[in-house]
Amino acid sequence: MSLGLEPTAGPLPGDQSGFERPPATSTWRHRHLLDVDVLSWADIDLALRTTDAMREVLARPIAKVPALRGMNVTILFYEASTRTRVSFEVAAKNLSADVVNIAAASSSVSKGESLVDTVRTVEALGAKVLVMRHGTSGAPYLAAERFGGHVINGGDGWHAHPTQALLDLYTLRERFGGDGSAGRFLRGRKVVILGDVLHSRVARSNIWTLAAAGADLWLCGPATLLRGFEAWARRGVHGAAEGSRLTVTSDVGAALRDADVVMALRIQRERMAGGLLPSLREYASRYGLTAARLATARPDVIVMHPGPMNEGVEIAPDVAAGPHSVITDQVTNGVAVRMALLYLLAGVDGAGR
Amino acid sequence: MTDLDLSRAWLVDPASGRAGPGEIVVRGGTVEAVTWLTGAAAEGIDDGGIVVVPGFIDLHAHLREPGDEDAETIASGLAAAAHGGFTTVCAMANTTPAGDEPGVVALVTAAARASDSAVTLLQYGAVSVGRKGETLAALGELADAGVVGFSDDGAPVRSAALLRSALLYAGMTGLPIVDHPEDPDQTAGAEASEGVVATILGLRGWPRSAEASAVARDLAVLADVIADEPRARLHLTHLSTAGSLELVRAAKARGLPVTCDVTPHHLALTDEWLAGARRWSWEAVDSDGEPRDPWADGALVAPPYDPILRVNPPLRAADDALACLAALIDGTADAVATDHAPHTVVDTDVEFGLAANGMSGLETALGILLAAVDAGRLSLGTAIAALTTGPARVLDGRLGRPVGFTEGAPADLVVIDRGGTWTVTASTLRTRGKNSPVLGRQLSGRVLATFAGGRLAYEDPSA
Repeated sequence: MSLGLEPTAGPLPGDQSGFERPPATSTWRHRHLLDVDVLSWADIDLALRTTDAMREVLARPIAKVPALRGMNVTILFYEASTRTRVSFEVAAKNLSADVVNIAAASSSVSKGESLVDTVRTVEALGAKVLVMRHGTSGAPYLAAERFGGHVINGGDGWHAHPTQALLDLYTLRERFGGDGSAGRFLRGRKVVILGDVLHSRVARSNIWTLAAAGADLWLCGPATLLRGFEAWARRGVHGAAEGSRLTVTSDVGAALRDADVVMALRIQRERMAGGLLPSLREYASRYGLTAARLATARPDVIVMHPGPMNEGVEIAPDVAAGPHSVITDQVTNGVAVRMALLYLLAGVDGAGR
Repeated sequence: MTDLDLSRAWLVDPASGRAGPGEIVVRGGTVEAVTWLTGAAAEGIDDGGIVVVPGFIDLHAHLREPGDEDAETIASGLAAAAHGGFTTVCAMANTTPAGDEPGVVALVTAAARASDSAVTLLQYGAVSVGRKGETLAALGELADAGVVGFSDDGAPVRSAALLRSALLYAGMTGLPIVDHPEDPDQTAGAEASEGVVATILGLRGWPRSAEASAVARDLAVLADVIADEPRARLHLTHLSTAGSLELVRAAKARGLPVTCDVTPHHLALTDEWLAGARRWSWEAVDSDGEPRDPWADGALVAPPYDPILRVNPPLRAADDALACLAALIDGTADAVATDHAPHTVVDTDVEFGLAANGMSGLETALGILLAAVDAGRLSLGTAIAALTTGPARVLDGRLGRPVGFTEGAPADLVVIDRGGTWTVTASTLRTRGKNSPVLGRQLSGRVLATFAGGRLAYEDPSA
């Protein structure tokens, strides 16, 4: 599929004629992107194919198209973030949007303003798209109920990080997607999510999308950081492709054996205070992704990490920077995926309007 | 209006265990005649029409006065009670200031009198000063002031040592300790019952063992204490898990003086509601009793994370909810209590994790129980007993009146249009706390009139 996006260097910035609607069989029907659990495989496939088009844009000398020209995209982050916030900002700017950045600590939020008030204020100031990160699971749903435009969840509590899951899936599609057809390209592929699954919104969102793509999905970490997931595995993941499985284990050897993909998750120091882990040293020695452990995986294994990394704890530096790592690809794809989602939700041709 | 003349009604009298067609006449607020009909006179009368039951008793309500009158006042709480069919309400002591000394009790009593409500307000005193769990409140003086028990509800009696003292000391007064069983170490920061739904929604898990271990603690202390003070009594409120109900079942079988209640929301709602499901607990399992997956079967019909659904203890999975229902049926649970917890929008129109715990419940308890009756999960008799004779038994003599239709006694009864429905909305609710989990929902069993202590406490405006 080609959207034929024209660079601004070509036609006048106001010229939208270079856009072609995506094929009528696959239209985007979501006003917000709050979680991936409501996305059908057709939705996911459309997001990935739109990302292909955005990758083409990014490959141009001037990576800018007028899709969101003049549109106010407000990025409201209640938690510290560099990677995701900048990625959204670059994505929105590449689509010619006007970007407003609000760091909650420097706004009236720190004076006690409620989320509902903040959302109303942001809307009154002209925001059409609200990209939001919040430490409380579910907060973007509250925002979406009050906001007249589109809300994109940039990560909420332990719950969801939909754009991360989609960029991870896109990165895997580059390796396993073959002809780029709409097939469930992870069928038969062993994908391991390793580490602090309990506190990870990245893991939760990836479970839905990786299962939908057909993966043989393994969650691995110390039992204290897997609580609750065995019950989910027993019930099964709704929307999983036929043949997809979910296995939860604290046996890192079994998990990594013949793995096609290993996604390491960040371990946070606060976990020790909560009595969930004895020490980072013990975690690193038992679950850290080292070259020796990785040697039991398939020879062409892919190593991923959503960042930011604690090198030497959940992942060894030589693995993070090694030949199997696609961690920097994830960052690049993050911009393209976010451009695609901004476009699908709010672009002139976006069916999500 | 203090007269009532119902010649063709369905009477339910849990005190005598009798239910059937009957005639009831109230004159000047006094029950003048109660006649059970038989034969031809009874023909065509069933429990789907006008049903008359004794006035309900709520063992557990938060009326917020003094201190949080924007959420509820004694007057608005008692008006809500009457609308819900309650003629007696036991108010918890977690007000500001806490009901830890007779002055606060007197203030609340005065507010009830000033409200001119016909509903009887009973009060608990706090177990500890300021409900802080450190030193005993003035239990003796509170008893003299007329409290019906002692509770630090909102929080558990903090330590086993304090509970031991409280049971012994309260035992001297003949009053029970009403504990909210929760191990706060296990629930620090917890948001939703630990399980699949909390896992998927990324909410901090609230382990069931946090309740069961507190119940086990309480029962162990009680078993010790009764050797020294046989008048010690323990009531466990809002039990929500199969495990803790099983502990109470076993304790009762051993003869321990323990009673307990369950709430309408814990037996009929489940943690699925947090994800957006709105089906009752008995609809959340398949015919084999296995839990259904609300994501897979299209049950997610509302936005997730509704802050109104945040409650302590949390809504549980269907197996626990159905265990609450089963406990009511087998008598392990003595009563249904509402745990009516009104809040303002300031406390509920926020992120789920920041929302205040608790939901409004006085006006919807009957309707939610009748949903279980309609589904064939509960008999009408058990439902009514759970709201009348059950709590009366827990209160022992402290209710100060008989429950039922006694000729010559002041009328204390509810007239229900069993076939009628009403929609729960902010404007149909009398409480200031519009934080009802069934807002927008239609409930069956419309209360037409509530007589309390011989006075008309509520009359359906459309009747």
